[in-house]
Amino acid sequence: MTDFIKVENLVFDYIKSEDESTFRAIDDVSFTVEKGSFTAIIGQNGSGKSTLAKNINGLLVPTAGKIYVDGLDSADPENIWEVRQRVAMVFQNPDNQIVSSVVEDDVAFGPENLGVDPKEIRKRVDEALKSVEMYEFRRKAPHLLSGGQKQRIAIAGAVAMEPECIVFDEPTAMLDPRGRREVMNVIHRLNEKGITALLITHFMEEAAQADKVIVLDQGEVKMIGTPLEIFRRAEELKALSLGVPPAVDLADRLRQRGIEVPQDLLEVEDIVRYLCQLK
Amino acid sequence: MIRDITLGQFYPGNSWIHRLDPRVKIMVTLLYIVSIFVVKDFIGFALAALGLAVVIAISRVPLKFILRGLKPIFILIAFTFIINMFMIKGEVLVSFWIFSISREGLRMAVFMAIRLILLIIGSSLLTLTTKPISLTDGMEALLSPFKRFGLPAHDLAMMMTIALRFIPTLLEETDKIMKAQMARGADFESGNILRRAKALIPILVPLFISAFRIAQDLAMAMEARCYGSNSKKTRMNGMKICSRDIAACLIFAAFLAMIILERILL
Repeated sequence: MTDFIKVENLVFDYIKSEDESTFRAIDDVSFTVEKGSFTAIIGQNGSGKSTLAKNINGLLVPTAGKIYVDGLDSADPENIWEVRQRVAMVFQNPDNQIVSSVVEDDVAFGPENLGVDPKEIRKRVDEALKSVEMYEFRRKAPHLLSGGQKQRIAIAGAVAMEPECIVFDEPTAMLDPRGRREVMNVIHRLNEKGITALLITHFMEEAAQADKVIVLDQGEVKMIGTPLEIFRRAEELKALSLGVPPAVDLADRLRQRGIEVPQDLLEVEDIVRYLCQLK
Repeated sequence: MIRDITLGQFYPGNSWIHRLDPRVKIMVTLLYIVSIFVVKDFIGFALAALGLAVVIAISRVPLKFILRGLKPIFILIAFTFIINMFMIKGEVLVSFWIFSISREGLRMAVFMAIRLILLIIGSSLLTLTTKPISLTDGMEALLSPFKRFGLPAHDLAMMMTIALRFIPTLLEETDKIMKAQMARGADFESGNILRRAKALIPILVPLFISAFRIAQDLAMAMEARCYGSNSKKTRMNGMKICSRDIAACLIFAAFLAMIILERILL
């Protein structure tokens, strides 16, 4: 597989406008995201996750270091629109990213800005809405929908731009469990269709569903690996004020009581299936 | 409750009038308003009212709905009526104490009242039969020729779209803040106007702050979706003038001609 996003020694400083003092949000971060993969970035509040996401599609410009999206330097103003078209973004608050008071008009916003042909926009909007299962709501007003539905509209808005990668910046943080499940299902489905997914989250069970997990702390990468590799290191995660997915935690406790549980069970369903066989 | 409010006063429907191009509707409404000022006698008003009645019938907006729109400006109509009736001097009909009603005054009063009522019903028909969002699109299209003089037509339309979109969000926010303040013992209902106005300050300050926060989030989300890119913007539902719009224009032209002829000939 080829690398779609390449982050090289990224540094990002926030500058306070009052006294020009700087705060280093990201400190020498390097990693790559493979085309078509599903990568999760975890870390506690203030670890630099969102700042990192905004650097990737040029909403913020790196203080030092480089980010290449499909070979394009994201800091180059020449590339900015191309980068943003290839790496779409979904934000945390579903209310604050919907532009229009009609669902389908909102989904059309991205392609309209890109100057796509009206007929083609129509096609993309319909397809995007179907891919998030919100087609029947296309003429509704977003403020009448639930949080999970609104977030799926926001995802459809990203999909309609036909990006190769979507960065999800804590898309489930403000949703109820049901909305969270809906959104995670959509992310999986899009990933299966070949869209590279980069999920920023603080829910460990969501990170467990990814191919690769990156752990950030105070602007630095602390661990990179598969979910299995990462969540085996429960003690280290706890030291970073992070936990492990509930299933991993349960398996650990069972092991402490002398019940043999395999290492590769990351999700609740897996462990339920295993324990039911046990008897 | 607070989130159930309807936006603007759009009356959902699918009539011939509803489906007309918003540009046509805006222009026709403007010209209709002008035509009301062309009229100078009651026959002209009868014609204008008849035209309006036909449009109302086609639009299938209930009369009750239309008359409700008159309620807020009833006082204005009554006020102009009374002022006109008493202030214009002429052949005295009735007089008592220092007041007198003249024939000319009475005529003028009725005349102005009819003019105001037609004006308001005519313009409210536009908002009743056009979705706020199409209204915005229509205005943008009509204002775009002024772009060459530096008028940011698209930005203005975008601002209106966002304002419409965020009315419910901000209402919800207000509701949340009010409840939070009430939970901590704030009292918004008792006391005189001054006290109640003062009690609103603890709502307005957090509301403003949250509006700024929303604006910042939204700006970021819009940029992420390539708002502001150099490529020429397109629209998914581009407006197209079709045969019914041309028919509407022709019918309205005939109406306008009738009003003007009436003024010249009678």
